[in-house]
Amino acid sequence: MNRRFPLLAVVGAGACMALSGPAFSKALVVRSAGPSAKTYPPGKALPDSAKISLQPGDSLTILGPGSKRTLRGPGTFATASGDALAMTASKRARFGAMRTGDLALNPSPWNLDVTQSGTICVGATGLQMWRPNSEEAVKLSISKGSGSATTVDWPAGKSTLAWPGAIKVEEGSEYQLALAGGTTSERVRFTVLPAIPDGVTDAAQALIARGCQNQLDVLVDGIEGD
Amino acid sequence: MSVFPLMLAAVIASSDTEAAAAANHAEAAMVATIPPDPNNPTCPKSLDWSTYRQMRFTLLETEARRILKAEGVIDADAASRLADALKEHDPIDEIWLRSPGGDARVGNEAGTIIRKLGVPTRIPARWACFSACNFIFMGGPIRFIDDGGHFVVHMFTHLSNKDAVHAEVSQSADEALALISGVEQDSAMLASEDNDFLIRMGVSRKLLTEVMYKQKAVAAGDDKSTRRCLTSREAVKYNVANAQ
Repeated sequence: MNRRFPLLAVVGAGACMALSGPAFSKALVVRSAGPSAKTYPPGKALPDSAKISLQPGDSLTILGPGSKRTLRGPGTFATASGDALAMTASKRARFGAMRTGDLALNPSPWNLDVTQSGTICVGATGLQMWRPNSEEAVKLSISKGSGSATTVDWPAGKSTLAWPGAIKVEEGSEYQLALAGGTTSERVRFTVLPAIPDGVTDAAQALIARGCQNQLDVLVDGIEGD
Repeated sequence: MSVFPLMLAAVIASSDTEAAAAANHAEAAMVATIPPDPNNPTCPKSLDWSTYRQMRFTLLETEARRILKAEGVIDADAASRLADALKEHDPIDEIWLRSPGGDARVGNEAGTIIRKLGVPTRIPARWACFSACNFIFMGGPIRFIDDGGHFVVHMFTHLSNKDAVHAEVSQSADEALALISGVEQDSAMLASEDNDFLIRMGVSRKLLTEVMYKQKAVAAGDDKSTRRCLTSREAVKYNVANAQ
């Protein structure tokens, strides 16, 4: 099992999950792009015996037993990991030309990244906020619609902070977040899960089903792949 | 929208790293209190290039303008989604960029799409456009870098997946040679593509030879630097920014 951040940070408080064993027996498409994206949409479950046919320009990321794999077309791939054909076909992609910097890694997909907009899946309690740059103290403004804003002081050196207890986190509630000095504000909409899923694939399925793309990206990128 | 084309600053003095660092420190002092990065002294310690793992395109309507925000990692599908977003939200007055870069060729492809449609590009204050994002930005026929915005460059690399590189070269000398040979060939091709891109976009090719290709993307040995922030003067000198 290879992860870029601690396993316990992935799950919510009190939850426990493993990347292998009976709870992780299915493969799940978590990202797809290219001509075959409609055939393999995020959330599609694949049996181990499935053969995946990809066209040129296709890219498919699946969570399988113990890890994730990114397959790039053209080619036909087995769902099960360790497939020689898949390894050969993805070799070129592993050494492709890149121009990129490192992204700050949100330590948990269940943290609210205050620099992103979108639908956020949350548990009933214990929501933590996270920011990528923590050098400076900053004020965070949280407002609902045209109502008055609540201002939160975020101390220098702290990357996470508890969501203000006075501001309700309810199904469908929407808030606008603005860091002082920022160029734009972010809009988030909460959807409340009955419980934080225990397993990675179950968590991924829940995030996909409710449209919590930002958190799915954090979850997937936190798992080392081939 | 007023546009004032800028003349190339022929009188601009040398653009060595120390001078750039000093100028950037002065600029940074005016717009922010973020300390400089000790490993990359031309840049602030933290840069706002977004945390979206896949580039996100969002319409922002403000001051009677229609802005397309392009934020996050330039993934394999980013260029086609950009084309879709520009079509869906047509007309777009400007594209605002913040990105840590990503796939080198997708950045060039996205820049070419923008140039064909003639949409201006902007790096707003405190936002950073790094690496492959440079090429999306340069696709704009009219290019703004606001005070406090960061145009951040470095060389492309084929070695970003260090685990894969280690696995490959540890197999055998022949595997290592095959990897190096492939990297050599693709580097030559991409450098040629970069030159062609800058000529078509009206940006000085000296940006590549004097700045971008001189800055390594992968830290090695005592040199921990991996990025270089252009000063406002350099952005004008190389015609990266051509409007204000």
